[in-house]
Amino acid sequence: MSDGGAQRGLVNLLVVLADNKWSLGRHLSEWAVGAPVLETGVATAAIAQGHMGQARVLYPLLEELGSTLGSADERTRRYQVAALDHPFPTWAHVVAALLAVDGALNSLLLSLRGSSHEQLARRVGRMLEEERFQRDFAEGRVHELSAFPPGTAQLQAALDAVLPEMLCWFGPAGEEGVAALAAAGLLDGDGDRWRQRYLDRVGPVLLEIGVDLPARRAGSTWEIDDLPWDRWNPLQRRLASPSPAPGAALPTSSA
Amino acid sequence: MSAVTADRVRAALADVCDPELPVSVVDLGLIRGIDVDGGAVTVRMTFTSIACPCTEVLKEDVAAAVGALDGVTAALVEEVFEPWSRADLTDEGRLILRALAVV
Repeated sequence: MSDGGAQRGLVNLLVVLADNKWSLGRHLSEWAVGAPVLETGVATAAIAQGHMGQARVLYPLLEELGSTLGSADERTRRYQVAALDHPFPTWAHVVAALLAVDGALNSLLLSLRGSSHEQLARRVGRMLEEERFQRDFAEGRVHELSAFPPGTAQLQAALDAVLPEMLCWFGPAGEEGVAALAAAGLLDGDGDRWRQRYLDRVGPVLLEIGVDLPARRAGSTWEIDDLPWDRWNPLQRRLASPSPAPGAALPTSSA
Repeated sequence: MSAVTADRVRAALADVCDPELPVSVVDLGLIRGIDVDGGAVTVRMTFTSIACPCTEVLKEDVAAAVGALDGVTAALVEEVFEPWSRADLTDEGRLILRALAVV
């Protein structure tokens, strides 16, 4: 790859995707024995394994690109969203992450299916093959929670903390690194397009159960509320945490 | 010394079983290509899932089985990330997994 800007962008993109997959898998695994019913716990364990496996196949690409970042366990700085800094405190937070965090990761993966980086495109193709089962599971758990009013309220609270960050996660409009990646054929689309795709994906199921979103339908597109860009870290692609959660187990993003 | 051929390599791989199932990597449909260049062998393989926890074990077992063949000087395993489905099972593989109520 001759374009330095595109190469730096790709390294950043890969580490962000891999770290988020890794942390999502790790925190989901903590609920393998805490899910509401045994079958859900087994499925959560399988999904956790899936995310960690996907991270496993992304990290070696960093090395091939000459990056020394290595896997998440070898670093103190993580490139994951703040929503994954700490263990999920309730099952509603698990469901919110399954839908809203994983939904964002997969919305971006869709833009990499035809990447000119053949090794990445192949890996992404396999990830997306397995993704539909995880999506079905997440949507099923959303409906399950919404069967009781407290469940919907718990999910709303969990989503209120996650959705603004995930909408930011696609980056502000006109991001330079994204433009360089697109120009090199490494991905297609841009932050605004991915945000719309993401809302098309997670919006309908949430509106169906009466959850309030920081966006509303306007014809065929979504109008999005003001996002907290003042807290946006473009390198680590995350929001600055307002405050550390009590009893936090994972190291966060300190350099 | 016997000549190294793709058929000999495939026959050796028929003895390499998935650690979780009594089915060989050949019958599971994981082997996607065998390249032989003199004594150097490259086996291209995929896995049932990208999250398969046995990938490293399987790669090591495949490399060891190929490396043990007479005439092989180097054995490389390349993960190709190709799709996998039940349609990739051989008849024998499907029979075993059916007996185990896996498929």
